[in-house]
Amino acid sequence: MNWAFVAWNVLLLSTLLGCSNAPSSIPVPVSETRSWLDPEGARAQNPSGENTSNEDVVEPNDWFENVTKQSGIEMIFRTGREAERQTILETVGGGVCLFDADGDGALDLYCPGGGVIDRNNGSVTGLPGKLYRNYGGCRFSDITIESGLSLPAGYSHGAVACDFDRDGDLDLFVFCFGQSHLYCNSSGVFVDVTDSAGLTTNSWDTGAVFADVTGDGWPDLYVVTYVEFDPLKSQPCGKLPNDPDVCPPQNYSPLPDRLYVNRGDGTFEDQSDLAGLTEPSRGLGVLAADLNQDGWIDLYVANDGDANLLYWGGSEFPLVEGGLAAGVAVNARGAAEGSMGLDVGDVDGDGRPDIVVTNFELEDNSLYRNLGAGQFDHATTQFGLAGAGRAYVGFGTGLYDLNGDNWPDWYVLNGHVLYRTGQSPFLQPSFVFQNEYGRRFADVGTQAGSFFRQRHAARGSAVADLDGDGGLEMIVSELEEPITFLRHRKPPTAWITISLTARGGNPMGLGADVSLDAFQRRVTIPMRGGVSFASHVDPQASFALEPNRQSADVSIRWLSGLREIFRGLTVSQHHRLREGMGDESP
Amino acid sequence: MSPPNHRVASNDQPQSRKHIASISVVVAVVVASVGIWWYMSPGRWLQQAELILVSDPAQADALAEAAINANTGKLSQAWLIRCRAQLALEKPLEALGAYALIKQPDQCAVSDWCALIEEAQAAHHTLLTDMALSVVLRLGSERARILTIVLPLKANTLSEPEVLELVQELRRLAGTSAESWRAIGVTEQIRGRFAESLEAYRQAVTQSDVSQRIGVSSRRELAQLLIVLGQFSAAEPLVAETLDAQITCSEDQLRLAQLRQATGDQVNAEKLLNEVLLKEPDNLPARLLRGTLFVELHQLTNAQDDFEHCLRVAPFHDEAHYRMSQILRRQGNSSGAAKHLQESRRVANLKLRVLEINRRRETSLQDPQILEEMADVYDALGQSNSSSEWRRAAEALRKSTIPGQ
Repeated sequence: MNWAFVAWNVLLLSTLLGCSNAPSSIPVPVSETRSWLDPEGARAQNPSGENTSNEDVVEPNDWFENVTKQSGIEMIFRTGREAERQTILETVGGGVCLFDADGDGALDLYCPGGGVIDRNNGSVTGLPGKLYRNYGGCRFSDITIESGLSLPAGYSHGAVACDFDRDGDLDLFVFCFGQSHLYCNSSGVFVDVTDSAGLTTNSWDTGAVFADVTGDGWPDLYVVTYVEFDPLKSQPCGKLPNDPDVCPPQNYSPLPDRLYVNRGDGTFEDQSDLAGLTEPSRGLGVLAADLNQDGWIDLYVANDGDANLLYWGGSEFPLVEGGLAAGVAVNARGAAEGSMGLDVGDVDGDGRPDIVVTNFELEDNSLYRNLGAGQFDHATTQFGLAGAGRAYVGFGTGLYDLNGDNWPDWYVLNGHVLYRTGQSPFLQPSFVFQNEYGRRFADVGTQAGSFFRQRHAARGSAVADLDGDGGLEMIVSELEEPITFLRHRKPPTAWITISLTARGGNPMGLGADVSLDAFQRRVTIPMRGGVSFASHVDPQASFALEPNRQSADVSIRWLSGLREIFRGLTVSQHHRLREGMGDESP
Repeated sequence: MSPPNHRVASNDQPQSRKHIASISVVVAVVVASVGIWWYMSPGRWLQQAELILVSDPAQADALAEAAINANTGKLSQAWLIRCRAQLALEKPLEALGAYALIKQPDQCAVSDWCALIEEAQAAHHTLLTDMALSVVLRLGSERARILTIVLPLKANTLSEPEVLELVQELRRLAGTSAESWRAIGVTEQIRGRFAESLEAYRQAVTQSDVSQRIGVSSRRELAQLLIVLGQFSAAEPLVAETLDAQITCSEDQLRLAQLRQATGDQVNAEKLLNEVLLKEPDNLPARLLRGTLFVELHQLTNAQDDFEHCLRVAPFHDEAHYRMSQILRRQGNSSGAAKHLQESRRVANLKLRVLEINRRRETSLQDPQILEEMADVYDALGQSNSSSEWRRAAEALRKSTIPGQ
């Protein structure tokens, strides 16, 4: 069946009938009978002891405010749940992709559309995503049609951007259930080159990242796959006949991930077997960074119920999978968890990238502290977060300094996958954990803003300075709710944001470390790809600076091994630094 | 006319005494005979058998067998006693055989059924426990008592609608019974409905005092569930309460140590664990927790000692193997680390296999092959007792036609 053709016809019909992308009346599958009855868990029910509505009331100390309505962004990720078939497909949700689509230096926004499911036979139809151009000042406008992205890409979950053909602009890979799509960016117009690039496949792709894994100067594509799922044969689970619910992933066979090696001529070659990606697992995310700082991009894969994987980068295939040995595959007790969202950051200030992972309910979110020499320590308890995530299902996540003290805070977006039979409600509150000087985290969610006092079925997210004031904005994707745009209300007085352009096939400087001295300590931010859940943001390093600071010296450890210092950079500006243009340092 | 009568009467007095004495003797003989008959009657044999079941199961079995041969009309009761006796004599197959002949379960008292369930559980006779539970659930009398005992034990094997119905029934009957609320809490927890479980445990705690046994167990179970859910500050007062009531209880000390460790109070956590391990050096959860604490405190050698101790006590402990591998790798012992990691994964995978087989069991209850597979897995896990039990169950399933299935 030609999904694109069917979906296009559905869309056309919808348009003719005057329908919008927004669902007219989707039944809310939330059982309010399941509740946490103790005071600690009550934040899910009654965050401030007042009302539990999702009103956007801004409190004076809030870090974020919801400016979605003013932003011009109107997008809802459609899951297909209105068909009431309780499929696992509709639980995964989507992410967001912040990338510079038009090369003007500002990050634009691509939102995947998800899809709909036929109530009678379960067939799946993708909905088109939307591309929004960033005009600054938190104002966006829909440029989907002129950019050529208005055709449905399939049931899409997310997108990642990279200049895979090294022609100077960022291309887009939209990963989907069924056929994923690669769009080549030609001066702001995106052309579907999936077939010619050799990426024709039929799978369930839930995440992806571009990174030069082979070190040949061309970005390769790692695609995470989930489970074998046939929507036409799908039956709901659930213990009671009159109370069907979504089946757990363990009911389905896992799939092996794929590595497409960039040939440098606009095509890719599937070298998954050569690379050693033969073991199937239920993947939901992949992160690319130089975790052991050896000059090779490493890949860390979050699996749902299976042990997480860590492929150490190196000059030869097969890649060495060393997650268990490194201590990042399982929890502190040696058990695999239901992992979803990912990020890395220097949590404890030792200059090494630590990993955070969000997990399923009754599991702690994992903080793997980097001990050096390829070893990690499960440090969730030591950082005061034991138990903090057990009542929730964690998805999108990130390590960013959200309060201007240069310590990366940890946000965790929650939302259940089960409508009625989970331990906690379908809609859940999200969290911000403030980093207390690299030693512990403390929950400051309720003062982070109204979004964090509300309950959502949150999924992917992206964080970046979108209005050029040094404060980090957050875009959040939720199931069947409008994309949320959270503007930072308390940007630092002085700041500096760094983007990188490395040599060769690493245009965004992936794997580099960006460091500077501020507030009497050295702050390091790793440049990474594949953050959060099903999401992408062009790598940037944002630093807060002392209020009276006039300039900053920024040190870069490039993936190539070159170390450079860029001196005297003007504060409160965004800088793009190119490899080889700074002063070499030992 | 009257004097002779009178005389006659007076002349008859010794004779009358004699007569009375004779009657007394006859009565005494009759009473004694009846007594002896009653004492030696088959009905009495069953009572007698029940009385001596624990102290002399062989004699109890003989009495019950005699009662069966005498055809007293209490056959089911007799076979139940024989079944219990065979269990006590560690003859599980014979116990199953006796069980198979209990044709009228409602002839037996609820208390006897409950005793059988407890004894079958103690003997790790899963199949018999399960079958007895199924039967007793269908009995009509003493429902609150039956459900309180049976529901937590049966929660895993009944279908969801069945459990829900029975939980609803017990909720209606529970009233102020802390035992019944605790049973609901345990059942809901087993079925994975933690919110409902919390609510029931809270009822049990409300209805009981910490000086009572049920008060202590309810508080412990509520605290443990709260810890699982990460609700540490709600769990702490409950643990403190039970610890106050039972000052030297290792279980409560361990739980408090868990809370202290989770909230970053490493000093007091270690102190509590030291106390526990002084009393019970082989307490595995305490050893593991103290080892973990030592890792957090960067005392790797001490941690290694604790994990090694765990592995001496339980060589197939996947978590201890995993933690050992982490320590050895940090100490630069790659080959030792790899060995422990491999063993940890092997055991973890076997545990997953147990879950997988259990899932298959739910749909194929009568397949002895599945039970054999389970026995193999337990062999591989070094748990020979469990393995034998599964093999026995498989064998019994092959041989028996059992009521209640």
